[in-house]
Amino acid sequence: MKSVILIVAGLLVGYLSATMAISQRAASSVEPKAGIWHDIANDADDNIDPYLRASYASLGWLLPAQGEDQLMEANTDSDGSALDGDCRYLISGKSPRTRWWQIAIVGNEDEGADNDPRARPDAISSEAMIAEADGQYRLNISRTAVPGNWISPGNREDFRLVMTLRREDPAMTGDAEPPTVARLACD
Amino acid sequence: MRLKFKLPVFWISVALVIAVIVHLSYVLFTPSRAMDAKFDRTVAKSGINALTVLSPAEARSLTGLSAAGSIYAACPYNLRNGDLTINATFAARPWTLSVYGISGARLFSVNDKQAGVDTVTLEVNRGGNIWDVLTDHAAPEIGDGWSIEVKERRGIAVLWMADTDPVVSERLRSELARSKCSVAPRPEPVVAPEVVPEVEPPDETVPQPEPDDEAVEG
Repeated sequence: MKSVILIVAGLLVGYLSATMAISQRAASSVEPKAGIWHDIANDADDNIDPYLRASYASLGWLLPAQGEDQLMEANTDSDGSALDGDCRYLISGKSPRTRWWQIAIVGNEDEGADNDPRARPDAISSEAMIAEADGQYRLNISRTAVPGNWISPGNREDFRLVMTLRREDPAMTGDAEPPTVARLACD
Repeated sequence: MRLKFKLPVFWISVALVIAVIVHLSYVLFTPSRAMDAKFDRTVAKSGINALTVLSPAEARSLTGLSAAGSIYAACPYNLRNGDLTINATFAARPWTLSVYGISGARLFSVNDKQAGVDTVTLEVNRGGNIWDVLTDHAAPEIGDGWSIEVKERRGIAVLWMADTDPVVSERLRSELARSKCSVAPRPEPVVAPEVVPEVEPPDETVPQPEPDDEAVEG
C-alpha cells in the first residue's frame, strides 16, 4: 500500500512540478514594456528553452517569426482595473511605424468568441484602422457597434488586449508609445 | 527490522525517478503534442504536402492569435518521400513565410522586405546526421537563403499576408491560393561507371639515352 502511495505521489510531483515550471518560465518571459503593456513571446531563439516552448504550446501559439513580430499584452485599463466585457473602453495612441500592426481582444478561454467576426470584430489591423491626420488613432471597445474604429469583446466576460507589431527587421523597433486604454462606462 | 528500513527508501527512490520522468516527459512532449494536433487538423483540411488557404477560425486555431486583417495559408509537410518545394505567390503586400518543425521549433522565416520579391521558391530538405535525425531537435542549416536543411521530418509551413478591405480580400485569397507546396522524390544516387585506365603507348618524344661510346667501341 505504501509503495502505491509513493508511486502516485511521484506521478503527482512530476506533473505538478512540470506545470509550475512551465508557468514560471512563461511569467519570466513577460517583460514590462510601457504603462500597462508587457512584451510577450519576443524571446530570441537562443533563449527559447523547452520550458518556454512548452508554455507557448500550452497557449496554442506558434512561435512568432523571429525578430519580426513584437507582441504586447495588456490585462488592465490605464487605471489598473481588469478589462471587463460589460464595459466600454477607448484606446488612443499614435500609429506605430511598422509595416503592419493589429490590436486584438483575447479571452482567457475563448468560448465567448463570436462565430462571425465581421458582425462583431474582435480585432482590427492597421489596414482597417482609420487614423487622424497627425497619425493618432482612437479605437472603441464595446459589445454594441460604435461609429468609427470599433472592436467587440463578443460574449467574453473578461479579456486582455494583444497588440502585434510586424516589423521589417529586428533593427526596426517601430516604437511608438503603446496606446492608453481608458474605461468610459460599464453596463 | 533491516528490511523495514530498506523498503521505504527503495520506494521513495522509485517515486523520485518516476517524478523526474513525468516532469521531463511533460515538458518535452507538450509542444510536440500541441503541434501534432495542429498538424492533424491542417492535414484534415488540405491533405499532406498540399497548401490550403485557411478560414479565420482555422487560422486562429493554428496560430493562437486573431486572424483579423490577415490571410493565412498552411502546408503540413512530411519529408519521408522526398524534399519539399514551396512556391509561394503573394500579392504586393506585407507577407511572411515561416517553416515550423513538429516539435514547435521555428525553423525559417522570411518576409517581403527581406525577399524583395513577391514570388519565392523555398526548398526544405531533410538533412543532418543520424543522431540529429533520431533526436529531431537540431537547428536547421540555412543554405543559400532559399533552401534549408531540417532535421525534423514533419512540420508546417505557414504563409501570412496582410489583408485589406473585404472588396479585394477575395482576390488576395485567390492570389495566395495559387501558391503550391509539393514533395519531389529524391533522385536515385547515380553510380559512377568504373573507369578503366587506358594503357598509353610509350611516348616517342621521350629522349632515349645516348649509346655509350665506349661500350660500342668495346
